[in-house]
Order: sequence, then C-alpha cells, then structure tokens
Amino acid sequence: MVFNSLQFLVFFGIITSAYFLIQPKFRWFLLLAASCYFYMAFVPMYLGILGFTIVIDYFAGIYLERFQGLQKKLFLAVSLAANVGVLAIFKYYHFIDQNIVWLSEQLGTHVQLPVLEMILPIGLSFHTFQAMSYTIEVYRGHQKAERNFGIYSLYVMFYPQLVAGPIERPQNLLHQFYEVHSWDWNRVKSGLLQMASGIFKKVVIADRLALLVDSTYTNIPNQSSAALALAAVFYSFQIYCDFSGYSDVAIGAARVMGFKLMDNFNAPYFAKSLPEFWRRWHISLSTWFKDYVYFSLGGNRVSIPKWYLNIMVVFVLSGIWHGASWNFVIWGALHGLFQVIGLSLNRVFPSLAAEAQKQVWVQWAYRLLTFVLVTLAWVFFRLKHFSEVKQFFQTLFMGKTVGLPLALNFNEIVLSICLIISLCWWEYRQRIVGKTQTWPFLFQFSLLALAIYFLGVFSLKQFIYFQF
Amino acid sequence: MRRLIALFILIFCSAVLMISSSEIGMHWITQGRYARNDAWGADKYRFGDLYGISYLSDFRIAKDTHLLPLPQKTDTILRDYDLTILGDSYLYSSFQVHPAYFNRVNSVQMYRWSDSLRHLIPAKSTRKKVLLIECVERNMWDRMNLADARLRLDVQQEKSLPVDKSTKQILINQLDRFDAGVKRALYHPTLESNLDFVLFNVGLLGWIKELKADFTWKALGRTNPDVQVSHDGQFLYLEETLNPQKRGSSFRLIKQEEINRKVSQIQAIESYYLLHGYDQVIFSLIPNPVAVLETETKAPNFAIQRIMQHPQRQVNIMDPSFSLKQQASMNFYRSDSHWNLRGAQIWLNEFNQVLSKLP
Repeated sequence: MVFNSLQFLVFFGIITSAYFLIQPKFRWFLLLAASCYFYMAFVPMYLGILGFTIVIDYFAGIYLERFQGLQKKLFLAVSLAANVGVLAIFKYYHFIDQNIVWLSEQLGTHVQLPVLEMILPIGLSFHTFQAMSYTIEVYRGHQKAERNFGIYSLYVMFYPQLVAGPIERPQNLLHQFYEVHSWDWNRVKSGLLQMASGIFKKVVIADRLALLVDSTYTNIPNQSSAALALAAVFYSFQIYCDFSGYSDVAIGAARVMGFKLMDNFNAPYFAKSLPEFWRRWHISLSTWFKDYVYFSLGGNRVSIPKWYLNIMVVFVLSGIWHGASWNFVIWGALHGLFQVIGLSLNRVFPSLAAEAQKQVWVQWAYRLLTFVLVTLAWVFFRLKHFSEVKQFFQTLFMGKTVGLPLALNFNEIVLSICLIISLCWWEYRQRIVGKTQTWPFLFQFSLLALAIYFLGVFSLKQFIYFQF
Repeated sequence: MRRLIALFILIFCSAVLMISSSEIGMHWITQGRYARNDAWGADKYRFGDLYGISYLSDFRIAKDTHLLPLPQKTDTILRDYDLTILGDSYLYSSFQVHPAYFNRVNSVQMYRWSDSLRHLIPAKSTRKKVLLIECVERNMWDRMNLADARLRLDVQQEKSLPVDKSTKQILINQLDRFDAGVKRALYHPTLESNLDFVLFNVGLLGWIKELKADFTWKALGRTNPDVQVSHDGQFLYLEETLNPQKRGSSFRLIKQEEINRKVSQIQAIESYYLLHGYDQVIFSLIPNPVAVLETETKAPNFAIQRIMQHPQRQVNIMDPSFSLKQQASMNFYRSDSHWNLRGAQIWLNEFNQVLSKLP
C-alpha cells in the first residue's frame, strides 16, 4: 500500500479512529494486524520472510540477555547472519551471480549459481537494519530484550515506517508501544499537517519533476546539454521530495497516534559540506552506519589512512545497501571519495577553510559546491549502466544545443522551479509544524489539500526508496 | 465528542472499504449511480469514456446511450445460420444480442473478450453455425490468437493445458495460488479505482474535476496520460493508440514478420474452429479511431490493410475501415473511444453483406 493512494487514506482513517476507540491494552494488537494488512498489499507471501527474521531476532534478544561471553557472541552472530542472509538471498543473489559469471568468463570458464526466481520484498533493507539495531543494542546492553513477541513484531513492522523508514532504534520506539497515548488535538493537527506536506512533496513536486527526469534519462543521446543539466538538478529535488515526503507521512501518521519517530531529513541541500549533507540526509541510515559500522571500525580515533579507509568502507556499504548494482557502489564510493578529499584539503589548508566559513557569500558558495557534487553523484544513482553514465557526461559537457523537446512545457518548468524555490525557502526558514490554533490549522490543511488536488500528478507512482 | 468523531470516521471509512472491496457492493453502487442523471449520479461514462478519464470540459458531450434499433422484421429471409460472436465493447455497447440485426441468422450468442469465464461450444443443431471473432486494432496483437480465443470459447482447453509436473513447479504454483488468493481476499484487484468511484464519482464533483483538468491542459499542456486531444482539438483519443511506442498504436512501426505471424495466428483460429463444428469463421478487425480520423497529420501503419492484403491470407476477414472513412468524423464519438451508432450501422451493413455471401 502506498501512502499516495486512496487505499491508504481509508486505511489510515479506519486504523487511527479504531486506535483511539479501543482499550489501550489492545492497541498493539490492532497496530500489528494493521501493519500485516498494510504489508500484504504488496506480496502477502513475503510476510513469511519478515516472520522468519522476527522469530530468530526475538529469541536471539532473549538469549543475548541471558548469556555472556562466547555464547552471547554466538547468538548475536546467528541473528546477524539470519538478517544479512535473508538480505543476501533476496537482494544480492542475482548481483553476486552476475559477478561470478563475469569473473569466471574472464578466467575462461563459466560458473553460475543455481537459478532462483524471486523478487525483492519491498522495504527489506529497512526492516533488516531495524531488526539488526535491536539485537546489537541488546548485545551492547543498551536495551532490554523484549519479552512480548507481539510488541517485538510490531517494533519491526510498525506500518508507518515499515517499508521506507525512518530506521528506528529500539530505545526510541519500543517503550512507546507500552505508553498510553490519549487524544491530543495539537499533536493530531501537527501530524496531519506533516502528512499533508509529505503528500504535497511527493505528488506535487517529486512526481511532476519525474515527468521530465524520466523522459530525459530514458533517451540521453538525443537530449541537449541544457536538458540533461536540468534533469540532473530536477532529479536531486525529485529524490529528496520523494523520500522526505515519505518520511513526513510516516512521521506524521505515527504522530497522530502519539508516536514519535526520529527525523530523517533536515534541509540537506543547505549543507555546506558533504559530511554536513550526510548529517541532514537520511539521518536514520547515516546514524545507523555511524553507530554500528563506523564506530566499530574505530571511527576517526585511528591513523589517518585507516580513518579514510573507514570512511570509504562506510560509504561503499551504504551504496550497496541502496541496491545490488555497481552503480550504487560507485555512488557510495564517490561520496566517500568526496569526503576524503575534503578532509585532506582541510588538513592542508586549515586556516583557509575556517576563515572562509565566516563570510556569508563563501558559505553559499560552499552550499552550491556541495549541491553540485551531490547532484553529480545522483547521476550514478539514477542510471544503472556505466555506458549510460558515460553517455550522460559526454552529452552534458559537449555543449549540445539541439535535442528532443522537454516533457514539460515552459509553464510547467517555471511552476516546477517556483515549487523548488518555495520548498527551499520554507526549509531555509526552518519552518517546523508546531502548535497551531484550530482555524489556522483548518486553513493551512485545506490549502495544502487543494494544492495537492489541483497541482498533484496522480500516477500512483511508487516511492523511489521502496525498491530498497 | 471526540469518540463520536472517531466513531463516525471508523464507520464511514469501513463502509467505503467494504463496498469498494465487494463485487455486490460495487454492483449496487454503480447501478444506482449510473441510473441517475442528477448531482449524485456517476459521470464517468455519461459523457464518453475518454471524458470520464480526462474530465476536459470541452468534451462534456452527452453520449447517446441507446443501442442500435432493431430493423423491421423480414420474415422472408432464410435464417439458416446460428451466430456465435466473440467480441468487444464495439459490439456489446452498440448492439443487442438479437438475430434480427443479422442476415440469415436464426440465433445469436455473444461472448466478450473481457470475460474470463469459459463457455461450452453450443450443442450441434440442424442449422449451420457461423463464428464471428471481432477485435479492435489496439487489442488484436495480444488477443487475436488461438489460446485467447479458446480461453473464452472452449471449455476443453483447460484439460489440454500442458502441465509441468515437477515437485518444485507444483510447489511454486501452489504458493502462487495461495498468495494470489490471500491478496484477492484482502484487496480487491481494482480496489483503488473502486474507491475513486465510490468517493468521488458523482456529478456534484464534476466541476472541480473539470477545473483541475482544464487548468492542467490549458496552462501546462497536459491531460490524463491515458488520453490525448486530436491535433484539431475536436476528438479525444486513447493515448495507447497514438503513441508509436505502445503495442496497440496505429502509428507503431510494424515489421512484416509480425504481420505474417498475425495472419498465421488468425488462420490457426479458423482451422481450429472449423474442425470443432463451425461451418464458417469470420473475422472483423475494427480500426482504432485514430487510424480513421487522424491520418492527415501522420501516416498510420495500415496494419489491418496489410493483414487483408497478405498473400497467404485465406480466412474471411472484414475490414470496415474504408466505409468508416467516408464522413469519418460523423462515425465516432468525440469524447469516447468507440464508434457512434452511425459507425455501428456502417459496420453492420458490411457484416450483413458478408453473411449474405455465405454458402
């Protein structure tokens, strides 16, 4: 079930109203049943895969708490192996197979893994990482093992963030399922407004930009350089509005019921450096890698080369997490490389960098540079094949003035740019949805609803991050 | 008060979901709404199916909902054939299932391409039997083959399907069936469009839909992606019939091998049904409206004509393109993907000529 559908609208109405009508002790059960129903809209059978890891992680959590030493490590290993194993089979099997075939052919032979026909369950990477964070936190002693199997299942299946995050930590979410959330009109209003703004980002901005991006990227050789540049910039905002729109709906829907999920975005395109970008973009994943991989490797408390290596490892892993394809690996590696270069330059010219940050125009220049680097890296994210990437950059830099007509007319391009500027202005002013009186809320909500209806592109287009 | 609001939302949303998820519920609500012409009536097809997709106000043209009137009874005609029709909305939205329309026809049975049910071949009678297989151009590439025809006409087909009996395949098939069953039980296959119909398809909201559609069309130059406006702004067309990238398009580049394949597929259908008790098999390929109306701006692929002129063709195929091109704009609805009653009458006249020439 996608958030930008009528199914979700009706589903949300039923579940939320029932949530406040039934006794608090039954609410977790309602949410768990609703989450199963929500997930089964994709492929019902895949609920079994989630069930498999849920059972293992649930018992692993209990035994991790009960045992010490080698046995404890063993249970952690079992849990991690089950999660990574499921991910490896469903997400990376074909990728591994393709590479084995290629490598064996380079060596003059032909080796192939047995053929498995399967598709990637939606949101498996998000689910797996959230499940892994539970067992790691229990192992580290930061979280008590959850004894209620239903509550634990709900922790990894809570429908607002089940398929595309935010990737929660047990310390933040688990205890909330035991709290009694009463109806709080202010909370409901802010939740609904955040949901509406998320849908606005998705159907008004992201899906409109997708019209131009998709048509441009599918026929690169026949585009002009300006069209490709425009498409690249539009894609940066498309993916941002698509993903942050999803997060807004998820966080808003949870908030209406009284749950507080972690923020996932914080105006990332206003970042003045790549490290800052990653503190503002997909925060729940960045902090996951930081907490469980980067720090485990030693972080920056190691020699400089090892530190740079740690950064590269984390970003390559982040790339692989996104997709089983070399373009994602390159995308991750590029981000790692940009960071390593930035850190090296800071070490060589430390005073210059510090001085430059004090001037406003330099700050904007840094923001622009960061945006350009991120946008160039998105090209690798968007295009699956290296030949397409090559074609893209060749056409982009050859200064080709003639190309196919754009998929959007002049008015719609202007409208799109206005929407992007409005979004940037809104985020620059750090406008967060807080307490509002009822009438202003109704006015804002109605305005958003009207804007969504009249400016929305209703194509039931899936969220980009669903594929991960 | 809060509980009351929550209860109202729960009951309303549950009722909407239940109606939209059930065949009976949808039948009840569609019958009710289509029967009304007021603000609570559905406007999805009242002004043409393409208007119902695009909601462009310029195409809010009331559609003639009558079927083609039956001709005067002519008892002198020898009615020596039973007619079975496998056809699409071009026929069932214009004609009653009645033999009086057709020359030499004593009885008519009609099956739809959209039906997934299988039907028995009618029992042998003393009269001769003729099978008409009609299909619109945009669907003929996928539908006009023996497997699809048998799926609708021939119950024996189920028994003769090749079955992969390996354990792995049996397990996969059973899992797939279970999965599809669960999904069907939880989610109606057309739930999203059903919800759209239940919540928003009332005449009362027509002006809002038109406002959005007109703004998007006039300011942004776009309409619903499934619909295109003709170059002169007079007709709405299905996008799939115009877009050369789409399979059903009249402007798609079609290689000769594909025409050859289609001719042999059509011949295979004829051979099969001649063997299975029909005396005559007639095919009718209906051109996409764009192939008739939009030929001045770009050249169509002439797919039907190429099939007709194919040197290996031996089957009886009827192509009404030439007749429909005479005063073409009068033969089609402006806001619908079908012909109007005038167009249907033209097709009927041609079909009756074919029937009269049968042995």
